[in-house]
Amino acid sequence: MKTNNTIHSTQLFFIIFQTQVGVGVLSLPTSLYSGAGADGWITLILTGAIIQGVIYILYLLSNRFPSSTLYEFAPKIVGKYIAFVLSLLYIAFAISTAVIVLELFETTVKTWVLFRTPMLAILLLLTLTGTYLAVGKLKVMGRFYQIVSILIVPLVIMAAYTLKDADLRYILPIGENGFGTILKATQKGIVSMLGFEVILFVYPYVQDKGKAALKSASLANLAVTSLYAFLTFTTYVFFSPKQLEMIPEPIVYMLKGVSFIIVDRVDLLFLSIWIISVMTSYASYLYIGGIGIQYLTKRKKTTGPIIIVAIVSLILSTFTHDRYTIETLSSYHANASYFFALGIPILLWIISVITKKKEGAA
Amino acid sequence: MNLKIAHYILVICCTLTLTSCWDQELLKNSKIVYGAGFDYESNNMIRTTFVVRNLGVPVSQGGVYSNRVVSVVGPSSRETRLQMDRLISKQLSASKNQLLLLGEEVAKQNIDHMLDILFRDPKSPLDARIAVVEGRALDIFNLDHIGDTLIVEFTTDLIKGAENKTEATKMTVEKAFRYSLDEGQDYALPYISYNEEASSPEFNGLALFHETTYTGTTLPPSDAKLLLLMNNESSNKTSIVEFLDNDPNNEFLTNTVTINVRNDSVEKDYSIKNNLLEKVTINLELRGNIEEYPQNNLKEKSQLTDIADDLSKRLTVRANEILNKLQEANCDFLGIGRDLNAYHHKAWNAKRWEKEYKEIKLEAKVKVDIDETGIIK
Repeated sequence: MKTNNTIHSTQLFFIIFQTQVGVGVLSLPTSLYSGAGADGWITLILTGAIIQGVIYILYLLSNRFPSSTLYEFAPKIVGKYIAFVLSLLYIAFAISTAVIVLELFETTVKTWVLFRTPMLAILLLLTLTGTYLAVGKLKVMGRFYQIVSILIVPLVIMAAYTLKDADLRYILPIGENGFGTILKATQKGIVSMLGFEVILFVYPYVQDKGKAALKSASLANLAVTSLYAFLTFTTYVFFSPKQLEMIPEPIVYMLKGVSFIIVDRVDLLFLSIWIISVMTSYASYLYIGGIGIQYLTKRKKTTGPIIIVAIVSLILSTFTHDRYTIETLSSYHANASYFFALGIPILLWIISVITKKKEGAA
Repeated sequence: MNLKIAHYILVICCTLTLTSCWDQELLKNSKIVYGAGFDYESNNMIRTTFVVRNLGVPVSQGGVYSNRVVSVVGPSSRETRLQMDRLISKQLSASKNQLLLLGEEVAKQNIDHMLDILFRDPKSPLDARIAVVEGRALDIFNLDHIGDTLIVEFTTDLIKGAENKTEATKMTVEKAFRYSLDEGQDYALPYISYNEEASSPEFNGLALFHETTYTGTTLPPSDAKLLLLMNNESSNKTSIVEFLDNDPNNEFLTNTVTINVRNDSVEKDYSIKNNLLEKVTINLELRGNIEEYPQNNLKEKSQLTDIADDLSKRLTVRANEILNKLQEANCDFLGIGRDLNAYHHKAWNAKRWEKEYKEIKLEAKVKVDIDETGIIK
């Protein structure tokens, strides 16, 4: 144990959960629909199962080096130089994820809520709060994530309320497009479920490692999968097929038509809660990038590196802001993330198993 | 100490950015639109009418609510909206609009073109009621008020009343968006006309739509009720009045019976051959109480059964007439296409359905059961 900055396995659950739930949830139903049609929600469940497998491998990898993060154990597996490049790549990946999150956040807030507010003010909203949170060490992050997770409950209630106008016939017949299409569309699902790779960077700080940690990670994945599948399902039974092709953020759109006696715009309530989920995943990536820089520059504190990551991502995110460019950018980012969340960790694990490298044994 | 100051600065910065100074919309600076209407002028021009509420002296201080009806002509809804801004002092805000009326002529065009402005704008009211008007929407709004009630509230309440009595479905802008793009399901909007005798607008049944356009066919309220019952929508305020097969010379003033529907259940039977839909049978079962029957006292159970049987026959005939009307108008109100897609997927073909719907056999069978006779026999 390097510091006394440790987290409980419950907090591990919330860290993974909140990192996974983020900016992608709004566009998820539409992107799944374009891949698998009305069976998109089944795709999501399948995606959850695939990710469960990946999480198990990430766990095996982390458990071989229970007191080091990816930045620290990579040199032991692949040697100093390759590890250096890998670390740089991971920092770049964390920064680009932060940039994508900022951009998607900005465009969504701009189109739905704050039409006239300057771009920088919206970006600063996320950057300042996110940086403040990430600087506050893992323990603070874990606790904060735990508290704000209660907000998922009203989110689910709001979505469930729209089921009164649901038409089940929109998702029938189940499996219309065949299993192949459903399987193929999982790649669209994986992108919005990303965030589980955070386990590689927080594992050394978990108090009760081993089975308890794996359990937390798996439960987090289960929670995210069911939340996403539920939200996707509600939009699929609410909108007629052609609408789903033209509405980029169906969940918010669906709630726009709902009004209670006092609250007229439920979509704004939803977005306010969503912003918190975006902020938490943004903070997680700042943290991942930050500790990478900290390790490479051999600093003692993470504060400086995290602020650097925040500033770099803020500057990069001010460049482009039209919906279609961001869509292209995020599809590049999605392709890259397969390597960072799936490819590289699995490769590292295989190498470490073959060369029998383990903490203490090396 | 330094850390503390840094904290304070951070807090101040946060609060500065958190207050959304740029996007405030104060009520006192805006004029609120309560009702909107579209009409077709010649040469692809449309007329937009807004009913704007004057908020002068508050009612608590002896003021009266009043409307201002503004109407302009332009090539698109957004363009007329911009023109409107030049005619109205203060910022115009349509986000609280509760009623949208479409003139008959404009409804026969593609209504999505007019509603695009509502679908696209994040501040638009998707839960506003939408209805079709006989003649022009402008003429209804120009009535300004009926008795003490302002025209928008009056018309909205008419529609809501019809919804309560199962004479109209609840159609909001959002629902219109949903069904107008749905190839397997059509819809109907409430039809409002002007009643000369009462000099007020009147709910006059349903205007049948096919995809995005009004078919020109309307169903009177009594038929609308039966159609909605066939679509499994009911409330316990549904009353059906029907003539009975009485001797025309029996010197009764009234020859009708009225039943109040307590329960209804619908089953659709699909007969499919070689992956082609041949016939749909709609079995409607109604369970109700007698609300009015002046011709005779109902001492025997057999009398009730007789009335029920007679009603079943007559309602079956009427239901079949309604189905014929639907097919002629090519309005798949009952969502048979959607059912086909969902439950008999092999028989479904979206392109073919457009023509197929008119040619399939639609048959209704209504069965009435009567339980109670009110507080007299």
